[in-house]
Amino acid sequence: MVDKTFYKNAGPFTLSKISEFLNSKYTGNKEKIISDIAPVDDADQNEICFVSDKYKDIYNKSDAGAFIIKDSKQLTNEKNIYFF
Amino acid sequence: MKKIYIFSKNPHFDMAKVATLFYPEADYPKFSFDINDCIKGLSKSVKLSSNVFIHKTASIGDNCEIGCNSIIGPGVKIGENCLIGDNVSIYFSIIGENVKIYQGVKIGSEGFGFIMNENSFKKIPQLGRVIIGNNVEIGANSTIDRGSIGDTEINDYCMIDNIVHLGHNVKLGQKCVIAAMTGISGSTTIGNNVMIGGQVGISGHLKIGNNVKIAAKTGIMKNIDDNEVIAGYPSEKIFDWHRNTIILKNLRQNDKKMNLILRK
Repeated sequence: MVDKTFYKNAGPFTLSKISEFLNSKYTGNKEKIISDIAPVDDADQNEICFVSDKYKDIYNKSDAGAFIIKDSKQLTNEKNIYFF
Repeated sequence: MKKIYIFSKNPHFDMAKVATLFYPEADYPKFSFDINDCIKGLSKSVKLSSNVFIHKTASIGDNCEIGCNSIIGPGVKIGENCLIGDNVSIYFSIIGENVKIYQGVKIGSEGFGFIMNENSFKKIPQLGRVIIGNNVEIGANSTIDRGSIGDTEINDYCMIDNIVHLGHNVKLGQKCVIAAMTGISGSTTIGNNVMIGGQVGISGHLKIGNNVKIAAKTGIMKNIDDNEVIAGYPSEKIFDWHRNTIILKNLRQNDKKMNLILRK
């Protein structure tokens, strides 16, 4: 959940609009409305989050509105290169 | 409930793109303000020096003191009895009461978050805040990044020395003491009553327990349990580290003896 006093949200967007923007496939209702982004452990029904190997344990418990997930449908042990 | 998925080659990279879709202005924050953006009608108990800029959407508590050339950005909340030194800039932050922020401190700067995709870097929009508790002291020229998604947190009674860097989404417990030139990487969580010596480097996404003591120049790359005292690079228990240095010293002395024998 992003603080609205500091950042202006251009949303909400539908699921189809987001996947069109990313040029990728999706499951579920295309009219599903996503209003914000959130970390995987804190996301609610209207928020989108991403899942990587680091979060694969907590993502099963998460009730986020949508997950951006790796193509293979399964979480592998392959390491992405992250810079933090 | 059935989960909804969007399939992607690189989820982290695509998440950064979605974040820019939702928050197009957040790729880089805005720094240009004009005179109309300045706050009017502050409480008389607030003492301001010359050339201070406070944005009209910011709020400053009673009895605060702000030094020369300081900048308080949009939406920032500062509690009562705070002392803010010269050349301080504060953005995207919520600050408690009795906080002392000394000269040149930068709070709420950009987190160092970007992701590599094949041959380019994509900046991850930094959409978090900095939350600072009550009775915190932050020494001169320290920098505290705001969170990427989520907040950077500093809890009550923390003492931070000069030139300390806290990365994005770092969480400091209560009563932590951090000496100068320490750097803490992103998303590291630090417990209560932790004492950190000078020039300590802590890697990202780690958990450091309560009551931990860390000697100067330690480099930490793994999680640390409660009540440990650690030193060295790579970090280990301070007892082991002392032993290692003594063993190394003896090794060198033995080597000298060997050389003498060989020369004869």
